Amino acid sequence: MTDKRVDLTTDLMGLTLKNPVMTASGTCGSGIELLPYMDVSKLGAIVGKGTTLNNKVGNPPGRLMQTPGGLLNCIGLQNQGADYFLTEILPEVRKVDTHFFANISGNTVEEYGILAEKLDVDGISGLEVNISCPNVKSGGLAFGTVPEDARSVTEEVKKRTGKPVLVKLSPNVTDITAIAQAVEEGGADGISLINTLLGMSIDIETMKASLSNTFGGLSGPAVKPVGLRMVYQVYQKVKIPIVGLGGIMNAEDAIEYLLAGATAIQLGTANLVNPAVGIEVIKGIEEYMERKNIRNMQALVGKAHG
Amino acid sequence: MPYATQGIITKNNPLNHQIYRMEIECPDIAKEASPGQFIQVKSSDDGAPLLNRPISIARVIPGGLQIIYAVVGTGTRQLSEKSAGDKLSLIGPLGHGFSWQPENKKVLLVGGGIGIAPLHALAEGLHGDHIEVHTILGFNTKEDLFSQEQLAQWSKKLWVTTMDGTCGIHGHACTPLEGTVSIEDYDHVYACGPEPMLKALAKICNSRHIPCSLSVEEYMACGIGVCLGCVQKILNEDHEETYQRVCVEGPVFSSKEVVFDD
Ligand SMILES: Cc1cc2nc3c(=O)[nH]c(=O)nc-3n(C[C@H](O)[C@H](O)[C@H](O)COP(=O)(O)OP(=O)(O)OC[C@H]3O[C@@H](n4cnc5c(N)ncnc54)[C@H](O)[C@@H]3O)c2cc1C
Ligand SMILES: Cc1cc2nc3c(=O)[nH]c(=O)nc-3n(C[C@H](O)[C@H](O)[C@H](O)COP(=O)(O)O)c2cc1C
Ligand code: FES
Repeated sequence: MTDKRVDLTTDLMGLTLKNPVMTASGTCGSGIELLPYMDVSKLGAIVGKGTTLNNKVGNPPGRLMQTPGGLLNCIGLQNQGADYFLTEILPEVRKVDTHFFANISGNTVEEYGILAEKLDVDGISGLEVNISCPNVKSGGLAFGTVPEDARSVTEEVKKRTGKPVLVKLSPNVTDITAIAQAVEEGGADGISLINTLLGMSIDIETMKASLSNTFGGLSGPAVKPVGLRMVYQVYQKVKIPIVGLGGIMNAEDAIEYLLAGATAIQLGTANLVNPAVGIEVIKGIEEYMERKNIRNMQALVGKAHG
Repeated sequence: MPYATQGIITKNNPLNHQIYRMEIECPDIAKEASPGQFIQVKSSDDGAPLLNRPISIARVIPGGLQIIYAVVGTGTRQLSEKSAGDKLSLIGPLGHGFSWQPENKKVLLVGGGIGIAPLHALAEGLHGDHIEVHTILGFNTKEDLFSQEQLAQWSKKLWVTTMDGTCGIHGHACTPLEGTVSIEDYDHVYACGPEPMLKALAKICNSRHIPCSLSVEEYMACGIGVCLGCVQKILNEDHEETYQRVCVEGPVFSSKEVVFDD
């Protein structure tokens, strides 16, 4: 029973999302893969798997390890490159009636720029710039931990695209607000946080690291308090919208992020456990708003701040 | 097409000290399932452990599935504690399973340990298509034996091996190929089991040009192709080494494509 007085429509960087629920990069393929399990067009937006300029084979097997309440991964950005994405994947993505963000990763500032320009095409609503991948040797995380580098990447991408740009931040820093402010100054239209937390696990039988890359990114319920704290802190320091993620498994978790200051949220690891979780979260937020007599999404955002 | 659905457990019984057989009512999955495919099973609804567990479809039965699993950790222990009537969240059928040519006359199945599970549906299907099935089942020791009677109903010949020699042929699942069983007699070889067994068998079959299908295992998260976590190194048509998803392109690959690391 849907009460039409509740309106989940969300404005994100000038884009109108049906609701604030998005799926996170690397956990939903290109969205198409989730079609057997739910009506993907009901989502607010999809964020595609990390795309690099050239084909990337990724790390050897030993890419996953479960930990209490979490998942470690070191996929290493396996993807077939931007040209393959444009010719083979994007035409399929266009058939799904919702917003699609391309998530991009580069080795150099220049590479981020080239990618941004290549992907400035129809069918892509916006870019999510990953300056926070812990699983690749160069680039990635490095750009996400130094404010000046984060700003340079943002400026370069903004110069080369007309699309709204989300910059995705790494939680592996001492002061998240410094990075957030740097990308805001660089012209970012919004900020996504958090990417995964660097971690590891050791197999006591083989006496070696469980993951092929030794370290990996921790995601899932275990990281939620960290992500939530960072969204709360960044909300107090920047004016651009925040897309909150990290450990959101259900509507209650999503609502916490909205209250902390997120305009929209992303589901990551949750998709891996339940590929229809997106629909459940949308319904749960709707029910919560009805119960609390809140008409409009916007009224929830940042409400936990005094 | 795969489904995410709630099954109902109808049976859950131990076959030996470590192995259980469960029957689950799940008509949607059952009507689409084929030999060698698997399901993702949620062993606990309270989020611990977080991930679903990949388990092979051992057999398709009317309106449901049979699975056979070894209790090796938390998730499989939770499964063993469930009873008839309990609900179980499932996703499936998943992956590319076994296939066969109707003109094949005689095939060999090789299963090691819990890798024997998916061979049930395969043997049953081959037998139904009037293909002669011969089977080798490898175990560590006599106490570990399971399913040999079930597989015998579909197999014209069946050999059991044990590592310690307490039952059948002394050695591993490929030991019979050193004399008792002549690999040249077969049109196709199918196998599932530990990696050293698959590697040894691939070497034998590739060198004699006998088509061989291997069901491989990798640690999985999603099971539906979105996380790219479960990859196996595969030699593609262009002779390039690539990483392919065990949950979508696999779990069954040709022995010619699988690249084993030394
Ligand atoms: C395609 C496929 C089909 C399988 N079919 C069967 C089957 O029919 N019967 C059966 O008993 N087992 C099967 N397995 C193995 C089974 O998935 C693992 O034994 C199970 O996940 C262990 O879970 P646990 O919580 O009990 O153990 P844990 O305590 O989590 O771990 C014990 C061991 O299981 C392995 N394991 C743990 N989690 C996973 C995972 N998500 N994916 C793969 N391996 C894992 C670990 O490497 C470890 O060595 C299959 C695996 C795959 C990939
Ligand atoms: C298997 C896997 C692959 C991922 N790949 C990417 C990626 O390609 N690009 C990216 O920006 N983030 C990637 N991430 C990070 C997620 O998008 C997300 O930021 C992180 O997992 C935290 O959210 P969660 O706890 O909801 O999963 C990946 C995460 C996982 C688990
Ligand atoms: S387990 Fe996620 S892609 Fe195979």
